[in-house]
Amino acid sequence: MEIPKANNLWVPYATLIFAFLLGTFVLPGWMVYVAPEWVLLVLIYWVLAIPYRFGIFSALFIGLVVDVHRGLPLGLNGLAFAVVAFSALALHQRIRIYPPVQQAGMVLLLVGIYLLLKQTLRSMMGIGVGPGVLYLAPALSSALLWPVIYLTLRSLRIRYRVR
Amino acid sequence: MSSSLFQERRVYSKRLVWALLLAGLILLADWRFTQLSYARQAVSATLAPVRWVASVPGSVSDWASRSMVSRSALIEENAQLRAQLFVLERRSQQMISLEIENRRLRQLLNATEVLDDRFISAELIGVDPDPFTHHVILNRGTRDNVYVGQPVIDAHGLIGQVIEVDPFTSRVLLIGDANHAVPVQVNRNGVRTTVSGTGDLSELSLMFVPETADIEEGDLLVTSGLGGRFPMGYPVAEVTRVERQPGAQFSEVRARPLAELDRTRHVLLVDTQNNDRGRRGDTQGE
Repeated sequence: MEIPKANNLWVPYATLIFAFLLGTFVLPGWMVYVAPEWVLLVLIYWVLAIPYRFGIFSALFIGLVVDVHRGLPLGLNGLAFAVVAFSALALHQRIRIYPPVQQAGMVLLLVGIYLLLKQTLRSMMGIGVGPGVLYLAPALSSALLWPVIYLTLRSLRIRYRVR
Repeated sequence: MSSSLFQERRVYSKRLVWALLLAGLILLADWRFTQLSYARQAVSATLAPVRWVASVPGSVSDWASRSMVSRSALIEENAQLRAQLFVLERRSQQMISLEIENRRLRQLLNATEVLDDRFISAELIGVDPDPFTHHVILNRGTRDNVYVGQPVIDAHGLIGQVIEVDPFTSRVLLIGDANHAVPVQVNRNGVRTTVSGTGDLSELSLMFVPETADIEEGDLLVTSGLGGRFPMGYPVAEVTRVERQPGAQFSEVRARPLAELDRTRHVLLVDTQNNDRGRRGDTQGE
């Protein structure tokens, strides 16, 4: 496959920064437990859409930035993001042809993998662990949001011809 | 470059192995050693604008609610504050003479002198969105001489300690976090114990309290100064429940934090490092 010339790559970065901002807001009450993984969702989209630009190492780097931002041990999100990016890459040709709702199912799995990995690492390092499987709740909310995110980012990608 | 699906996947697997190795190394280095903290500070400082932008909606709504208060509400608040000030002033009238008397008595007893702590005021600019930890972000960093381990208090009591600083902001671990513990003593009789967080910001638990310890409901717990991290005498919590189970080795004691952990916006950073008398002139506080 020929790798196309880079075009308007600021769009993915801008959306990632915007996702960062969204992740900073604290939702009220019980909603903190279902706060979607904004950065990861946007990252998954760009990995699926332009896998020749966003891959495992970009995911690792973005994960490291998230770690600094959240005050977690450096590499915790980095490692988990890299694994998710790998899974998304391995499946990207299949996921791309699914309709958005079916994609949401795959996103549920991907975010679930991320949360499981993150939780495992966190409990190994003795960082705040919640009760039961509550930590998996963001996978559901992320999957529910996926169609919206997918359609938004796709229209952005098409409008700006991101390559 | 023409590659089949399978070749592509082999490349991905190889990359994943490298990425995992790298991430694992970074994780280990950051967890066990301190060399990465500079890189961390640098990245954190570049992220400062993101934090500022994120705190804008809060500041705007604050400003709006402040500038749209009715005149009568302001007058009422003013009267309340005056009354409060009156009470506090009455209490502090004898403070100076008592302080000097205390110093003289301590000299007579050959006890070490208790030094005044200096404070830096700070404002909360963010709360960590992680539901299972309790961190907040303050608008002061190494530029203002904030250091890791610095105690943080509000008007009512201890809030927590600084666990991470970059030039512009600092991250505070609240005493309600399940990973935090403070050495305290009962104000009434000096019984020493340790208060740890439970993950619930409205409840703390006392660790390893012997069956026979003299602790009652309503007791005030203040920092004991043991461990050297928190200065002595700051109020931490009030005991709310004591459960003594016959046969059990320790009794279960719960306490309510005095500081408003989930509401407070203005806090003070206590400077315990730079307050010895020789160096008093060089550091500036606010």
